[in-house]
Amino acid sequence: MDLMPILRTLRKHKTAATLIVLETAVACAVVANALHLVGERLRLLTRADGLPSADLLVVHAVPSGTQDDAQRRQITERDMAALRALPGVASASFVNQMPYANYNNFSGVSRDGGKDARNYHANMHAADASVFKTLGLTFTEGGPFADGPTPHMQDARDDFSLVPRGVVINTDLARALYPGESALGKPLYMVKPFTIIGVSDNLPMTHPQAKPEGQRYAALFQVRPSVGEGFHVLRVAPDTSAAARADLVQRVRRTLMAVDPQRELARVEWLDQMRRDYDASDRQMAWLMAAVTAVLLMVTTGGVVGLASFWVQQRTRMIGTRRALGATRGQVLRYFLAENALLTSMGLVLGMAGAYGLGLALMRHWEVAPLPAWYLPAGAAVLLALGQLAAWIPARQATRVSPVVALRG
Amino acid sequence: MFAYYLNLARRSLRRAPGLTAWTLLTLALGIAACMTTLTVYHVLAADPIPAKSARLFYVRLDASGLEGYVPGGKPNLQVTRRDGETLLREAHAPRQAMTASGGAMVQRGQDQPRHTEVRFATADFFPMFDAPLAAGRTWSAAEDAAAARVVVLDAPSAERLFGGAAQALSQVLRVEGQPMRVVGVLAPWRPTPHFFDVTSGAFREPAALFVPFATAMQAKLARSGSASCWGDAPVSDVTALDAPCDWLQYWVELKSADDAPAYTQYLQRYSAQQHEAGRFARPPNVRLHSVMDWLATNRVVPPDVHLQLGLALAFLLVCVLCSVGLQLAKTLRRSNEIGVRRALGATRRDVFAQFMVESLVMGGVGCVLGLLLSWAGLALVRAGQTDYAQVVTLDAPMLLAAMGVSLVAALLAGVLPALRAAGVSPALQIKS
Repeated sequence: MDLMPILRTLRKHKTAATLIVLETAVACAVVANALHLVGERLRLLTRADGLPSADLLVVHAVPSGTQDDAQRRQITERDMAALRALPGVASASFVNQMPYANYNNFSGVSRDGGKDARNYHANMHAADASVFKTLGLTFTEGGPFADGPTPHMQDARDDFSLVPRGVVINTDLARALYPGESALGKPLYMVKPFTIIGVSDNLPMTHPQAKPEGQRYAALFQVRPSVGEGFHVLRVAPDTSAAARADLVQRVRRTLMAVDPQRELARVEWLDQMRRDYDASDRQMAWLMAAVTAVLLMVTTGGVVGLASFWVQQRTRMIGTRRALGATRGQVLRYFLAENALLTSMGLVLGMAGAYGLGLALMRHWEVAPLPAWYLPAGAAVLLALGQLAAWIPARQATRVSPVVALRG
Repeated sequence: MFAYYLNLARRSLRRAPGLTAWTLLTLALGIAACMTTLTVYHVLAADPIPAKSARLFYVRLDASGLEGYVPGGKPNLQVTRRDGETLLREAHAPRQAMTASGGAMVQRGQDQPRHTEVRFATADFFPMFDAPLAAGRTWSAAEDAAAARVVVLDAPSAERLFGGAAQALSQVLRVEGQPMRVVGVLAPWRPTPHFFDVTSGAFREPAALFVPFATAMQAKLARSGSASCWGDAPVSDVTALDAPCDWLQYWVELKSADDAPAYTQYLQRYSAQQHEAGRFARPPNVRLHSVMDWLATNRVVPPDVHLQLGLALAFLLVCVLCSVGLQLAKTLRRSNEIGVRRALGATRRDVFAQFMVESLVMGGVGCVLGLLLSWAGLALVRAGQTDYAQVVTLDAPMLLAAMGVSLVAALLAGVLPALRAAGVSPALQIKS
C-alpha cells in the first residue's frame, strides 16, 4: 500500500497525530516496565525454598519471665519429648531461627579468620542433629553432623570451644568462600576454626529476600537452643489430612501449655502460611502493577478509539469520494488501519526508547533488575495489536460510508 | 456570562453522554491513582514531630573494631551501652535520651502473663518526643539513676488492664515476675513514622509499656530490635555494660539547629578521647542526623511507594493525553455551533472561555469521581498487608491537593481543544 497519501493527510492533522503518538509512547514505556516489575515480583513469589513448608508447624512460645536458664533447658526437653510423642508428628526439633519469622541472627564468617580474610555476613542456625530430618535438608556435598553431645546455646556463648567442629553451610556460602572448588573438609572461621562437613542446598535463610541476592549465606552449628531462644518445629507426613492438621495444632497448644502454664504461644503456624504472610506485600504490589497496567491499556485504547472515530467522521467526504472513485470497502478499511499502524509505530519507537531509559532509571535508583530486552518488543506488540483493534472500530464505520455522500453538499 | 457558559457546558456534555462519561472516567481514574499514591507518600514521608524535628538529633559514633574498616566509611547505626551512659552522664545537650526496644511477660494480679512490647528509655525521652501524658507523671532522672521499679503505660494497655488512665495509676504489674508500679499513663500517641526507633519497622505503634533503662537492665528484660557486635570473642550478653555491641538509640534535643556543629565537635572530642584510651579502635567518625535526615538515611518510605507514585504519575499523564484527544474530537464535531456563535458576534476569546468553562466542569465532576475512587483506593491500601496499612488516611491538605490536581489535569486537557475551537473560522462553517 502506498504510504504517501497517508503521510500527506497526517501532516494536515498534526495535533491528533501527535496525540496518538504521545499516548502510545508513554503507554509503551510504562507498560513494558510495569510488566517487568510484575515479572520480578512473580519470580520472588514463586521461588522454591526447598523446604517441606506445608508439613512444617512452627511454634514460637514466649516463656514466662520467672524461670532461670536451667529451668528453661528442662522445659525445652520436656516440650520436645511431649511433642515427639504426639500422634502424627514425624519429627520435631528446636531451632534458633526459622525463615519468614521476622527474626534473624547473623554473624561474620571467613575462611581462616586472618586479618585480611574476607568476612561474610551469614545467617547462623543452631540446632541438634534432629533438624536434618525435621527440615528435610538435602546436600550437594557431604552430609549432616552425627547425633551426639550438643552444648546448650548459653554455654556455647560463654565458651565457644564446646561447639563441635563440624559445620554445615549453604551452597551460596560454599561458593563464596571457595569459588570453583569443593568446600568439603575445608575450614570455616567464626570466633574459632570449624570444618565444613556438609553443603546443603536448602538450609534456609531467615530473610530470603535480603538484597543483594548474592549475599544469602547460611551456616548451621551443632548447638542446642532453649525456649526463649528459638522455635519448636514439627514435621508431619505429607498425606496428613486437613482435619488431622487442625487437630494437631490444638494438641500442640494444649501440650505446650501443660508443660509451662504461664507461657504465651505467640505463634503456632504452618510454614507455608508464614511464607504467604511474608510475601503479602510483594503479592499486593504485583497485583497492583498488573491492575494499573490493564487499566492503562484500556484507557489508551479508549483514547485511540475516540481520536480515530473523530478523524473518520471528519473525513467522511473524502471516504465517500474514494468510494465513488471505485475504492472497495476493504481498501478503505486497510487505509485507516495502515494509518493507525504508522502512527502507533512512531509512538512505539519513541516508547521503546522511553522504556529503556525508564528501565535504566529504575535500576539506578530503586535496585530493580535490568529490563530484559524482550520486554520492549513484547510491550510494543501488545500496544500495536490494541491500537489496531481500537482503530478497527471506527475504520469499519468508515467502510459503511456510502459513495453518495461525496456527491452531496 | 459564566452562568451562560455553564449552561452551554451542561448541554454540550449531555449531548454526547457516552463520550462525556468515557472522558470523565479517564480523568477520574488518573486522578484517583495519583491521589491514592500521593496520599500514601504524604503520610509515609511526613514529619512526625514538626515543631522540633530540626533540633532533635540522632547520634552515631564509630565504635566498631578494625575488621572491615574503610577510612571515611559510615559509623555504627546505634550506640553501645557504655557510650550511651557516658554521654548521658556528661549531659552536654539541654536534653538527651537513650532508648531501645524490648519485650517482657507482663502480669496483672493472678492473670495469665502476656507478652508485651516494652520501650527502655531514660527520663528525657517523654518531654523530648512530646509524648502526651493522660494521667500521673513520667519518671525523673533520679529514678533513672536509682533503677526505680516504675513504669508508664500506653493508653490502650491502661484501658485494657485497668479500665482507664486514672484507674491504672499506682497499680502494680509484674514484669518478668518483678513488681513495678504504674506512675503514668500516656494519651493515645502514634508518631508516624515511628522515628525514634526505626530498627524494627518504621510504622509500628510505640510500645505498650515504658520502663526506665536502668530498671530494664537490672530486671534483665529481653531486648529486641537490631544489635550488631564486633570483635573476636563471642558475646554472651549484648546488654552488658562493656559488650562490644551497638543496640541503643541515642537522641539529643538542642536549643536550635545552629547548635549542631558545636555538639558534633563535642562528639568528635569524645571519640578522640576514646580512641586515645584504646576503647575505640577506629579514628573519630561521628554523625549527627536531624529527624528528617535520619528518616531519609533509613529510607523509611519503601521503594515500592516511590515506584507506585511514579507509575501513578505516568498513568495520569496517559489519562490527560487521552482526554485531550477525546475532547478535541468532541470540540471539532461542534464546529458548526462554534461557527454560528462566531458569526453572531462571539469573539475568539469568548469561544475559548466557553470551552475552558466546559473543561472546568469536567474537572469538577472528574475531581468528585476521582475522590470517590481514591477513597476506594485508600480503603484497599488499608485492607492490604503492608506495614503502613494502618496509618494511611486522607487529610485536609491532601483533599486540597486532590482538587488542585484535578483542576490542573482538567485545564491541561482542555486548553488544546479550546484553542482549536477558538480557531474555527465562522465563514467556512456557515457555508455548509
